[in-house]
Amino acid sequence: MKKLYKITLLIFLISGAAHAVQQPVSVPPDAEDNQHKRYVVVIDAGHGGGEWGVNVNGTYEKDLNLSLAKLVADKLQKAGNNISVLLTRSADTYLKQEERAGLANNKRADLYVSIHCDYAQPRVDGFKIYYFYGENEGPKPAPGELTRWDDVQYKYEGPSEKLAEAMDQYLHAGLIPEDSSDTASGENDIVPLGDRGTMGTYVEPLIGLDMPAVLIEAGNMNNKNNLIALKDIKMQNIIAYHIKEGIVNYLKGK
Amino acid sequence: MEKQVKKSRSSGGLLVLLVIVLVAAAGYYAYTGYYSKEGMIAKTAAKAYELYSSADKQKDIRLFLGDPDKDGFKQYKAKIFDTKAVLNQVKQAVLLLLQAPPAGYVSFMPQGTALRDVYLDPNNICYVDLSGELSKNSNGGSTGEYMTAYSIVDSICTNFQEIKGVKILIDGKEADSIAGHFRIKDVLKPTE
Repeated sequence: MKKLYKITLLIFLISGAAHAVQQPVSVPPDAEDNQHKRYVVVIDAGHGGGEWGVNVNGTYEKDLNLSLAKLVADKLQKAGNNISVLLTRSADTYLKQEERAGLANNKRADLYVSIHCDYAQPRVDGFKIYYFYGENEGPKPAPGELTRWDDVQYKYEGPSEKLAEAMDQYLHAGLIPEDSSDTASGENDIVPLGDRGTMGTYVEPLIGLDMPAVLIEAGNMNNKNNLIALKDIKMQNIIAYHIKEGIVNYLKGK
Repeated sequence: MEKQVKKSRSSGGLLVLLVIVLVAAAGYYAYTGYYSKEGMIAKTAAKAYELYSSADKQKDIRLFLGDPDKDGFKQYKAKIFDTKAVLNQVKQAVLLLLQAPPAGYVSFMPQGTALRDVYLDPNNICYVDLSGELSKNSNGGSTGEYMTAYSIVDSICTNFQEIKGVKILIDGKEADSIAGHFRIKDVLKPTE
């Protein structure tokens, strides 16, 4: 009986000591999550297949979107081990909005960036970043009811606005990142497009996304200089570099 | 002899083909003519007899058209007839938006868009029913679709303060978006 008592006491002391040794080195759960968190970023190339978007004398928006999206994805992949990047499409294929949103939601993406180019007045110069914002604050489901999939983006109006601002900051011509590690490639250069700012409105290509999301209109295809820049691979690299910087810096601040 | 019969058969075939082509052409013109006539009736009605009487005075309204130099609206002072029925005034305003813009302004209405009708619900939400060209001929991306929608919404809500919001319909039905970029499922409130 004495022997059983000693063994029990020994086990108790050992486990207590082990617990005491563990305590000082343990990291608060939140900080640990942030250190090791892997972020999933979805880059969406707008349009595709038979839906070509804007067409200016045979230059299709869908092709520019895909080229830019691939460059952003590539640069993000190289930006750090803690970022997984997914493209909604990597070829000239058409996807419905439900499919794009479904892919991002199934992968539990941390953020979603949809890349487009638009067609404004010829003298309108530059990029514009949109996030979803509804004036009506969205329907409020009763307790126990699920949110409709196409109303889910209402939840992310605040974080999406922050993401849009982060991207705008890094795309803005006057704000070149100080870290020059990427300059060897010539990518850390001034964005060759004007800044049309950010805007919250009813953005259809962000519907159904269960995460912060933005749509960037990378340039105005009806502006001669913008179109030249959007078609030039060096310029595409510069634009993609700054989009990547905006995403990385947003994730750092999360 | 045999040759002659063949020739006459072949002439008969040509005649049948000609009749088919003529019938098809007549059908096509009747069909397209019907729709363009519908559009014309709406415009003519607005201008001539349906939406106002000669006793109605004119009043100024502000239309939200595009600025050729920047990404935004430029207001244009236009005149409509001050009819008793507000809906008739709204129709006149929308029809003006669908016309070619004055010099120095840009229209955001896709080419060929016609007004089908305008309704008002008990909550003072205005339903503007436009033809399918609104989405078929849209080529503006997010910015263009946004400007199209708010050109209508701001032009209505700014001039007719009793109207609290606008819902855009396409071919008499609710639509998710104009052409894939801007959601019109919701009632839109004025930006001002």
